[in-house]
Amino acid sequence: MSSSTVVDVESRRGFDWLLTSGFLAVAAVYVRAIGFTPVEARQGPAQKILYVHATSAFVALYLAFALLAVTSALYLWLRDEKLDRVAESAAEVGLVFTTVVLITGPLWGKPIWGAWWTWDARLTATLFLWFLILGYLLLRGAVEEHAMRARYSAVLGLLAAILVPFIHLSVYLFRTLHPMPIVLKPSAPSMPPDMQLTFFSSFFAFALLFAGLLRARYRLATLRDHVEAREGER
Amino acid sequence: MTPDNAFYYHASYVAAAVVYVGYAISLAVRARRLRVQLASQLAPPSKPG
Repeated sequence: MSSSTVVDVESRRGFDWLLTSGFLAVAAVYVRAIGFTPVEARQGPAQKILYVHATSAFVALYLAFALLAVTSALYLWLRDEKLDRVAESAAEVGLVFTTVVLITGPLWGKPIWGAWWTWDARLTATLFLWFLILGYLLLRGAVEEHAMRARYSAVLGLLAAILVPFIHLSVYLFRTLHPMPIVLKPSAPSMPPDMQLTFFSSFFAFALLFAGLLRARYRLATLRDHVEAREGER
Repeated sequence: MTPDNAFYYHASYVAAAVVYVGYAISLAVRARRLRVQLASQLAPPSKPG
């Protein structure tokens, strides 16, 4: 590891404009959702949980875990350690987004369904995916040898990501309590324009936050690998 | 009649903010620890005596 690379990594500390933009965008969406988006008549204010719950789920499933699958597959082919770092970062940040999904879902379910949780296909599969990604991160911590750790976790990452299309289709394949898609469906979104604007703004805000967190996590992984490499040289 | 269930959505928004901000703080803390470790690795060894 050249000292210039280490200096380069060190120089990246300071103000993180991407992460700050992500948080500011999410704050703006909070203001719009709370103060400037109409309350849905049948569900009441609890419907506004959608702007955090569904968009966090979109980011986790279709950005984080899709990226995990792609970079894991590419790692198995190219054996580039940068791909392994991206996969690791996508998994951890995706786990954070899925955690938000699993917290906000029951908070919507209690007032609307009258129950915090139900073991229906979509909820159970999402919880299972959360445990798989947790297992993926624990596996990374348990294997010390770099190449072996990257290879094993790439395989597990790919297997975990297979659940994503299953989770997406679960509401069509099984009788579930979970609402049918109102945005990601063949026909146009079934939402008034005001709510659509909040929803899509929220998606872009959380996607920006994801990008900021992913980059920060990737830099952390790079720094850790430099420190470990120098430790090994001693 | 529209139900009064604002507590649940307020709780959701607060919980999500806590998780995301908490995670960002954990990244900053871990990065800081690593930088301290790296700085100690890069520091020249002190002369004996």
